[in-house]
Amino acid sequence: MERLSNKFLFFVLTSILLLTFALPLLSGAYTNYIIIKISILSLYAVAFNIMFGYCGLLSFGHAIFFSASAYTLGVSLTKLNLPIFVALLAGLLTSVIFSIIVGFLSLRHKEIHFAMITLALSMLFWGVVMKWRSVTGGEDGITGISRSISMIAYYYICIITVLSCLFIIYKIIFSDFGLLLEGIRENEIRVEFSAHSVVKLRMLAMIISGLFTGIAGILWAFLDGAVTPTIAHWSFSAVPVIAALIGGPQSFVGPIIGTIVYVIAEDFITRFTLYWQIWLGIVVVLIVLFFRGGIVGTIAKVVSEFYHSKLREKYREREN
Amino acid sequence: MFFRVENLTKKFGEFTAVNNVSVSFEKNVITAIIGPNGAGKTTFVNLCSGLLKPTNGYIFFNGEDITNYKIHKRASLGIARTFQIVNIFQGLSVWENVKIPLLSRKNTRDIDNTITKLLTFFKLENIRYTTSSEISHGDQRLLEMCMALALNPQLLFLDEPLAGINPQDRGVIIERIVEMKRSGITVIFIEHDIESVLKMADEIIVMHKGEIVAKGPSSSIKENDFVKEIYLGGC
Repeated sequence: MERLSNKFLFFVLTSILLLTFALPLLSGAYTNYIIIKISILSLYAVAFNIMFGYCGLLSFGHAIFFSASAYTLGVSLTKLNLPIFVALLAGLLTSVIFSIIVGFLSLRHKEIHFAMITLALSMLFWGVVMKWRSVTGGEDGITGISRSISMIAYYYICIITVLSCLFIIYKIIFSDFGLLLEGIRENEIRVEFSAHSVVKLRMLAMIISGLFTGIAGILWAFLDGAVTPTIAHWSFSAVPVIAALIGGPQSFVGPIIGTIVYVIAEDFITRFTLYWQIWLGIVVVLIVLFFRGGIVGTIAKVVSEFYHSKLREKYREREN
Repeated sequence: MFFRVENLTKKFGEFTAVNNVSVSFEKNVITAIIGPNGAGKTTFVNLCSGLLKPTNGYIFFNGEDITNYKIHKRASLGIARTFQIVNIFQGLSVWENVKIPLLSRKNTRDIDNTITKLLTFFKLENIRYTTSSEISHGDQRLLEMCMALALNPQLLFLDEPLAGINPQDRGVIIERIVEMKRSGITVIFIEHDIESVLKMADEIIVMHKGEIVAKGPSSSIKENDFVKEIYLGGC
């Protein structure tokens, strides 16, 4: 059964991968744009989920890391005219520095206190972005960020970068370090009594999470060629929260599935109404109320129950 | 002295749970802490293991003042503990539960072998891949002790290790505690079942209203009039 499901999973993933790489040859510019958007936001959601799904900490401050790297890249390229590699490094470094600052201020707290501190810092950051017009461009943001390559070339760069990052995060999550993070989520005190500093482990998780969120921010800045304050607003921190809740925060692929649903739902519903958030809100409420494990968690539960009922039947037949 | 506390006091508002306790423990001795409910036994262990900060007093381990050390630092020095209510990683497998404390060791090269050895010592090897919330209460107690032992501790606090355990499993736990002493671990445990205490302990400390009212070898404590009156019901 396990071998069969592994083969099936391998088949599905390979098919998706091949389709993703072939898509620019088969579809139009808008579909390509949506796929890039899904891939960037998937990286954002998976990076966020290191804190939420594995450390058990709900952060409302990830828009800081996302926008800090995007704005740094924008400023470096358009105002300072730095070479692209320097701008990329500066963007990543900024997201790491901000993750250390946010982590230092918030990681000694948990649950609602952690969420509120990250939310407050996010609002503060947005305030700075809006008011510091000489650097950030205020409400107008920064425009003219050139990627110097075609949209199709950028599509492939984006997909390869996101897949590489997801692979690295996967390796981290399923390493000994990932086990310690799961331990923190399960029983923080027992991790301390196991001679590990919970604060240090959380800080490391926050830096890793911030770094990959920063990479997503850089990809985003190149996608539109502009950076606007929308990505610094606290509501943009809610995007990975919703994606993780829809897909299932306790699995690696959950936030990716959630992002796909989120982006497609947004795109589909806005064709009929501007108030797409109302419908999305209803979906999130229903998932939280009736499908706590999200899409992936619910499917896993149903499959497991089906598998166990088949096993029970088998044993009963044997006994008879 | 191996482990010692000086004038240790813990107050919760007006209530004094541990009152000016000074006591020392020798290496490689099993000490039982007994006393009626509310005597301050668990608070004393919580103070020693770092879960609570003392209002007053000092804690020394191998001559080092560890009063202000955090839990993980005490654990890395070799102080481990178990809890009155089993405290394990319920959602993780038995194997992963033991792996987490082992990851704190500097040399983690032979970690799989060490886990197997530890699980075999506690007779848990057959349920290694079972989620720990699905194993019996007795096995959970053994698992918690196994996790504490994975730290390679010098000093081990056990808070009511026999609570809620059936008579067959009690034998296994008592056997393991005595074996731990043989391998050089100093054990300090809290227990209500006086019969089991007498089987395991070299020394007994009696606590009452946050103070130590008697301390000595098991044989002498059994005959202590004050102990008979307050704890053994005058028998």
